[in-house]
This record gives sequence, C-alpha cells and structure tokens, in this order.
Amino acid sequence: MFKLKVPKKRRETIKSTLRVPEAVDYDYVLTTDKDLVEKDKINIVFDEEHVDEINKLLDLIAKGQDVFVTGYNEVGQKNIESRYIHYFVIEDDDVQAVLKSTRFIVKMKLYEIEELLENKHFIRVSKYALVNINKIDYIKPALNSKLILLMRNGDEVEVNRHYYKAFKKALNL
Amino acid sequence: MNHVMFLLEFLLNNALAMTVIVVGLGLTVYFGRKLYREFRLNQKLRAFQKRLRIIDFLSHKGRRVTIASLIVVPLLVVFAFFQLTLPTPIQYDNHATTLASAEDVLRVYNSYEEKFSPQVNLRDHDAVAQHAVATYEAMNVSLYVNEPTDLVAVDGNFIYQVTNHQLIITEMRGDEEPMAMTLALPLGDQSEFDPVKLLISNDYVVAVGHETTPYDTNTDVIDTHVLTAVFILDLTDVSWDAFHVNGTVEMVDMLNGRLLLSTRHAIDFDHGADHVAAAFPSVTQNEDIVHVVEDAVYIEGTKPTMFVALHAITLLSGDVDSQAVLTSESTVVKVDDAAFYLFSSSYKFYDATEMFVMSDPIEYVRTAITAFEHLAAISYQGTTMVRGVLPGVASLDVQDGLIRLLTTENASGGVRNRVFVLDSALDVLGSITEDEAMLGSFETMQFYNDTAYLYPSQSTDDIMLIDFTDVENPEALALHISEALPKTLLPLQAGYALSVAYADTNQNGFLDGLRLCVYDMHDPAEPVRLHTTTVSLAEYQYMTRHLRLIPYVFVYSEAQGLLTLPMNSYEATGQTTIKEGVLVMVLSMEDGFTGHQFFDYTYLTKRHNANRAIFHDDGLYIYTHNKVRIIDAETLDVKHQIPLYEPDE
Repeated sequence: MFKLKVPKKRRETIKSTLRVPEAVDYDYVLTTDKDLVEKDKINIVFDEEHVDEINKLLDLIAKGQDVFVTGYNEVGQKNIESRYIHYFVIEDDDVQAVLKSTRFIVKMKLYEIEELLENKHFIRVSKYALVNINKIDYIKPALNSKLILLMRNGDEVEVNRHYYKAFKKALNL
Repeated sequence: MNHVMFLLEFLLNNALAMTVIVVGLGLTVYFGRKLYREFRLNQKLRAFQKRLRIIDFLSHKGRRVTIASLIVVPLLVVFAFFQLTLPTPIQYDNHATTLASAEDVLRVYNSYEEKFSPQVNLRDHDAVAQHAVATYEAMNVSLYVNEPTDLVAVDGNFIYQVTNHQLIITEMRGDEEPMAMTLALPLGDQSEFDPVKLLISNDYVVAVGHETTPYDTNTDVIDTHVLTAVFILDLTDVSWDAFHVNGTVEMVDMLNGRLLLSTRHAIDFDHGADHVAAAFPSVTQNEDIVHVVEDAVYIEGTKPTMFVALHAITLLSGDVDSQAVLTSESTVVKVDDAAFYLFSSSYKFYDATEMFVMSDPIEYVRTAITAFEHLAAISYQGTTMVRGVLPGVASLDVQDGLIRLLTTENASGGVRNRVFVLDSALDVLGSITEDEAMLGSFETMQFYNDTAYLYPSQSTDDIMLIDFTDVENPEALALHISEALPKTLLPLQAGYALSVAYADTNQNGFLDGLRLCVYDMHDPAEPVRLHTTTVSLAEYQYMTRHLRLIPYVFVYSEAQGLLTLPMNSYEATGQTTIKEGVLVMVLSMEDGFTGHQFFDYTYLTKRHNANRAIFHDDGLYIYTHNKVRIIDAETLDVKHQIPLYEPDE
C-alpha cells in the first residue's frame, strides 16, 4: 500500500514511527524529499517534524473514516469507535459488542451492523458473530472444515462451515 | 546400505514394528501437513493486517509448541520403540564384527543358518577337516588339538607335580634322596580335579585343569558341572588363589607373570538368547564373580558355533581380562609374547555386506587368522583371510614373530595346497599358491627349523620340502630320498632328528613295537638315515604294544647320551594288564641305539598319570603317577625312589 523513500540513516526510525508496512504493489509514496516523488502514484512529501500528523493521515487512508456504534451496559450508554470492537455476537437474543475487556449491548440487528461496517473490515463468521479482522490474533484450523479465531482479548470465535469460504476469500487466504 | 537392508529385513519379519512405524510416520505426516496449513493461514492473516498498519502481533508460542509436539511425539515414539526392540545393526569391520549381546550372537547364528545353502553340502568339508585333525593327533607328537597334558614343572631345584587333588613339591638333592612335600588343592568338598597343565613363574605355581562338581538338578538325576579351574599358589606365603572359568581349557601359557589361556564354550542356540548368554565366559576368583564377558567378536565367514574365550590373569594382582570370540569349531589358538592368534578354518558363505555367494562356494573356502593383542587389555587387532583350510593343527607354526601355515582346498582341478608366511601384523610376507608341485592331498606339515616337510595323504606320493629361509619367497622342493621320511620328526640336537613310528606287524598281525630312526639333517633336502632300531618289549608270544607318546616326556640328553620316551603296553595273555612308563634308550649319534630300560607302573584310567623325565646333574629323574625315581645315568640303576601319594583307587 505504501512505499517509504527517506534517507537511509533515518529510514528505520521513520518506518517504525509511521508503522509503514511496505509492499511491492503500492499506491502511496511517502518521502521527505520532493525530488523522489513518483509519477502515477499518490505522493506524500513531509517533514520529519510532522510525523505524528502523517501517522493519523495514514490511519485514515488505511482504515477510512471512523464509524461509531452506540452501545450500553450497566454503567450507561457509549458511542464506541468500531476499530476498538473485537467482534459482535448474539447472546441471549441480544447483540453484544465485545471490546478488549468489556461488553456493550447494541440495539441493532446483526445484519444491520454488518451493513454499517461493510468497509471497516468486519466479516460475518457465523449466524451469531461478526468479527473485526484487525482483532484476530491467530487462526486455528479445527476439525470438520472449521476455523477457530483466537481474538486479541483471548476469546475464541468459531468460523462456521457455511461462512468458511467467504471468510477465506475476504482475507485472501 | 547394509543398515537399510537390515532395517527392511527386521520390519518384514516384525509385524508390530511395521505397524508402529507406519502409524508413527502417518501421524507425523498428518500433523506436519496440518501445521504447514496453519502456518500459511496465519502468514496470510499477518500480511492482510500489515496492510492495515497492524504490526504488533502476539506470538502464540503455546499453539506452535503444541503442534510441533504433535509432529515430534510420534517420531519419538517410533524412535523409542526401535531403541527398545530393534537390535543394533551389526557393524562390519575388517573381517570381524563386534557383538554387543546374546541377541546379536543369536542373530548372527540364525543369519548364517539361513544363508547356509542346502544345495551345497559344505558340512562335509568341515568333517574332512575335523577328521584330518583327529587323524593327525593320533600320529604326531609335536602338536595337539587341545593342550597336551603336562603336570610337571621344574625350576632347577624343585620339581612340582600336580595330581587330581594335590600339589607335590620335590626337592632335588643330587645323589641324596629327594625330599617331597604335598599341598592339598583348594577344591570344593565334592569336586574332582582333572589337571591339564602345571606352570611356574617366579614365586607362583599355577595348576590348570577341569574341576567337576556334582549338582542336584532337583530330580533323581545327579548331574555334573565342569569348569576350567586355575589354582595359583603363592610360594612366598603358601596361599592359594582359585579362579574358575566356564568352558573347557584349550591352550595355556605363561608370559611375563601373566597366565594366558583359552577356553571353549559350547553355545545352545536352540533355546533362545538366555541360553546363549549363559555361554558367555565368566570368571570367578575364590567364588566371587570378578569378570563377566558380555560381548563378543565374531570372525566373519566362519560358522558361528562356539565361543573361544581368551583370558589373561595377572598373577601378582589377580586382575583378569577376557575376550569372547564367536567362531567355528575348527579353530586353533596359539599365543606368542604379543598376541593370541586364532586360526579359524571355515567356508566364507558371504562377504562383509552379507551378500550370499551362490555361484561357487568352494571359491570362498578360507582360513581366518585373527590376532588379539594381550599386552595390556585383550583387544582385537585384525584378521587376515587366506584361501583354503587347515588340514590339521600341525600344519601351522607360530614363533619368532612369524606365522607359517599350510592350507588345502578341493578346487575344481584337484586338491590345491598353499603355504603362507605372515608376520605378527598379519601381513602376508610370502606364499606358495600356484605351484603345480603342490597339487594333491597333503596331510600335514612338519616343521624343522627353517624348513618344513609336507607329507602327502598317499604314502606313495612324494614328500615335499618347503624352504622358509627366505620368508618372502618360500620355495617348494621335491625331497629326493630313497625312503619315506616318517611323519614324526623330532629334533634331537643340532643337525639330527629322530623319527618315531610303528614297527611292522608281526607274524600274528599285531603291531610289534616301535621303530626309531635317527636322521642326519645337516642338509634338510637330503636327510640321511643313520640308525634304526625296533623297540619290542614283547615277553609273551601274543603281547601287543600300544604306544602313546607325550611330547614332554620325550627328552634327549646329548651329555648323558640318553633318550626317554613314554609308552604304555597292553599285555593280552589271559587277563589284560596295562602298563605305562618311560622307556630310556641309550643313544649317541655315532654309535646309535645301544641299550634300553623300561620303567613302568600300573596304568590308571584317570588323567593324573603324570610321567616325566628330567635330567638333573648326573641323574635322571623319572616321574610316574605315584613315585619319583632317580636313575643313575651311567648304569640305569635306580638310586632312589620315593612314593608321592597313594591314589584313591
């Protein structure tokens, strides 16, 4: 997605600060030298002083505009940024948004949430669960063509056989 | 390659092992594929997440360890299973194989038996070799299959004699009557001792023999247990040390304060590894087990029939070292000051890669000469294979760092004989292998200094002379003498030899004594018969003579002009009487045989009949089983005689 073109001496520092995953196929060129811009690419020329701003910009490019979901629990009601939600799951006829250590009940249907977060890298893995791909830590194959997703908060979510192919396709697996 | 073949053979014959390996490897492949797919899946997940600038991943080491374990555990199970069940593959190394256990011994035996082709009846060849040995034993006095009995040792002042229950020490006191004392052997209460040899070394007197102990097998049958017994008397404090070795003694020698002996151990291959393990040599000292041999060296190609065990006992410390050798029955052991030498005549069915030779097994008739150093620990040094088998034990000679031997082989063109000279490193220095003059059946080779005489099986054939003067180029020469040279050629003094043979049969068809001939051997190629006499002790018309020769009793004193020969006689008139004794002949090279005297005693069936002639000062000491007589060398009169002990029977 991105290609970083900066002086060698500073490269590692800038790369780690910007968290730039470089790729062979890229659309964006990030550089501190305007002479290094490339034609047919989107070039971002920046000073090192503005690394923090560039970082937010890159987040925006990579993940898009933040979408908020409203949920509530015993403490009260809260608008939750979608990128913090690990997955949605239906439990006791309620749709729950699971975060790192807390849960919120969302007063929406699961398919409505799926439509809402269509471009936010959420994927349906079963009739009862919608998972944030960014929060999957590990994929563990199980028997019967199923997958177990180990989430970053330690929870396990099963990918149903019915959704198995769609899941793999979404991740280019 | 050998290992792979060995493993395949094992698996094909072991269904359980095959199952374990198939299941184990199957599980490994299954879990291996699973791990690979999981790894690829998560690798792609990471790539996807990286594009979204997520690079702080958890490692999930636990999961990887679990999967890796699933792959490794089946392999470990298979490995452990084979460690427990699969015998160690035999390592072939220069004609000898180290066998680590009784199972290995059994496996070599079974492998050999399997490869033994019923189409090729090579057992007959073994039988021929054995027969040659037995025949030769009866006619030759210089070498024996087993250690010849010698129960007397002399150190200049004392004569030591071992009997079946005691040691007799006699002080030689010139013209005075000798003094004798006896010491009881440290035998068990019910044990019987059958002495084979007595040796002395500085302050030690060593008696070697077989100790027979009856034991109750919890049945009505009382069986006996035979061990090789070594009794060592320390003369400084007159104390005994008793060693026992399972098996029977074959060769005994004393070198530099060490007793070197070889024993034979029959192996029961038909009742499993435990019975094989029981045949491994073990040594006890004063009833404590001090040394147990648990491995063996197999001399490849030889028929695995028995253990030949080599032992070295240090007299001063009592340290014991032993080595077991798995080989054929047709094995002769010799020893020199550096090594034991085993001569194993056999038929090499297969080579070191265990490839069975089907084409022409006769081509694989071999004698393996194997050396085991004994200077420190007994250790395998090497093996050299030469073609052919030993026709008899007398066809070899080990002395002065040289090994000389004759082998024979039934080749397609007739019986082919070969002579080899090896050094102590078992390198062949010289040989005669293709000499047409050596075609034909030879029975034995008699050594005389640097020459040897080859005696044909047919008395009408020529005797051959082998000249070993140049060891690298031994030469075979036809012997041009007007009469056959007797096979028992014994050195008398420099340039002279004595032959001992049966005399012709008498008018009644019985052998009638001994014919003794003296030969001038100054030119080995032209031995000249100087003197001949026939010793007939016949005093009765129908008396026959059977003569038994024991080399240690054959003694010639050039100074005294006396020759002593052992013999026994059967008097067949009325009641048969057997007499055994020492025949003393008056002999000089110039005048020939001029008189004789027979000193006899009643023959006893047991092997404690120790007869020995010893020249000391002006006297001749004649030992018989129960008395020592001092003979005046001039008159052959008995000057003194003292009883030694009264036998039990």
